[in-house]
Amino acid sequence: MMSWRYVGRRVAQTALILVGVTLAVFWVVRLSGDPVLLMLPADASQQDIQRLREALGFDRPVHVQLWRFVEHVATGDFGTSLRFQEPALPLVLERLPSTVLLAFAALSLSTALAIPLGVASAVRRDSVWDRAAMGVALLGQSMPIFCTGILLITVFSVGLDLFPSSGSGTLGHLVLPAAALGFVSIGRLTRLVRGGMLEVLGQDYVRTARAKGLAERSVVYRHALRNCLLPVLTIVGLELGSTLGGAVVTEMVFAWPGVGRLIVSAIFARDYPLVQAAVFVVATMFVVVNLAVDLLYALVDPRVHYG
Amino acid sequence: MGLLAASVLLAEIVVALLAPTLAPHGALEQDTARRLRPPLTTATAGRFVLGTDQLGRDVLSRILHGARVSLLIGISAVAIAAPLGVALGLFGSYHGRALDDVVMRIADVQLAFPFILLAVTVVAVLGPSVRNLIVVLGVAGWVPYARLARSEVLTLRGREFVEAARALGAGDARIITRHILPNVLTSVVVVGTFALANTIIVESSLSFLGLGVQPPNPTWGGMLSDGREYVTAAWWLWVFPGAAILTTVLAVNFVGDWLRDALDPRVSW
Repeated sequence: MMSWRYVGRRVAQTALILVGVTLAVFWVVRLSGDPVLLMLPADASQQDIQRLREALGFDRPVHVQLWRFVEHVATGDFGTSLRFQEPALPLVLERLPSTVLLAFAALSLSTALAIPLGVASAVRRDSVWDRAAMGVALLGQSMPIFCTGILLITVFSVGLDLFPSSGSGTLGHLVLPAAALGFVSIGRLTRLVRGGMLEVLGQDYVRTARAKGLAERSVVYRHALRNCLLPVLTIVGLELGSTLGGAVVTEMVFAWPGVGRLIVSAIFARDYPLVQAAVFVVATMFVVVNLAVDLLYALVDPRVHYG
Repeated sequence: MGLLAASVLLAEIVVALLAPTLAPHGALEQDTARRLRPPLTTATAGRFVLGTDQLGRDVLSRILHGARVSLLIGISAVAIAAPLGVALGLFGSYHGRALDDVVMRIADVQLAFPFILLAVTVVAVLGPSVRNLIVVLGVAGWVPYARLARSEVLTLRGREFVEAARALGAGDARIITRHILPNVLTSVVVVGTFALANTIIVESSLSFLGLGVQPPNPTWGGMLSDGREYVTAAWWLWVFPGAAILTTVLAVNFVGDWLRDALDPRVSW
């Protein structure tokens, strides 16, 4: 059960984290010294440097810059993209749905595969199936996403010509990127479902259900599985972080037009206002989703009292 | 299985250390006359065992040199992250609530950024180089170790033997090193091993994106990035480096599982 105090505490904590995120994003551009030098090519003239410095306000004292930054962030102003000459935040928000779609598809795919795999593993413990499933799980966690991606492209796109290898627009375009991105999570999720099922299958109420003469399938799915879903919710929340990170690589491999690809190309274009905006948006989204998952979990889990 | 994996890993480390002498050719030697030769053909058999790449460089030699890069960066990063994390975790949780909260809040803020995104951005700002990669991946990896150390401190702090030790006049440092640290160390070894696997993956991802070790220096990620253009035409350009990454990371993960079973089954990574 959940108390309002818990909600208040978690929200306050999230607010504090967001303040920290803002500070971090402000500071990261200054890590190597002069941020203006970072944003200009190596052969820029002194005049160009000075002009950009004044235009972006880097000639003011640091605390003034910080205050202005915070003020601007609060109103959603992340400056102008140096490359596109448009406001940075809308550029990011425009591409955000693509990344969210990719992440969602990947996680749905991995959860959809992990649940039956994990259940089958637990029910036929130590059998060939179990070992095969665990093998696949380990493989997923040991292959970098770009490796999986290139493999998938070679087999399914170039080889069998089933799916397109880049771009977006149709459902077919989503399949390979989502598969590549989701493959990493399948491992962790399968292991979790398997562990949860093993634990639950050994418990008393399962024996009671069997003793009552219920069909095995009913026992497994209706009684045992429902109780493992709660941890799966948390882990999906946890997998979101690595999925978002993995989306950066996936989007580059498959030329998927999302925020990840935007960030990488902005970095190579030295377009740091855009990088700042994008990184801030991703971090904020992640933190807020975590908060939602935590609150949902507290609401749904009848066993624990959150004070 | 663990033993097999450990020997594979050990062999790799040896190979990586000896790469300059073992490699049949220089990793940077180009010869466009012999570009894109497949392995096991009359042109390459015996001389370029795994074929040549788009600039005529020997794939095998580049893979061997790439092993040096990945293992160097991976091991160094973990070697930085573990002591840093343990120190922060111990320090924060031992000296009272306020400091503990500060350390944990900093962790929360750092974890708000997906790890690869954090690495990509900071490495880009600092400039891609082996040194910067080691520093960034090392410093950014402190959190799991800090959590381990912290949990150990919080568990043991109230126990009687700590109070007894204090009553006997033992100072904080002594209590930490004699009683708390040994328990933490076994978990740190397990976590560190899995962290090594993850670091190798992140480093190769950064190299793939062009933000890792810069060309023409060979890295496995970079080789895969080059090989992308020749996906079926010259499959040996990406299959072999990919297999190298996979084998290495699998081996590290198996060793990690083995260590975990042997040392500390409670750890979940």
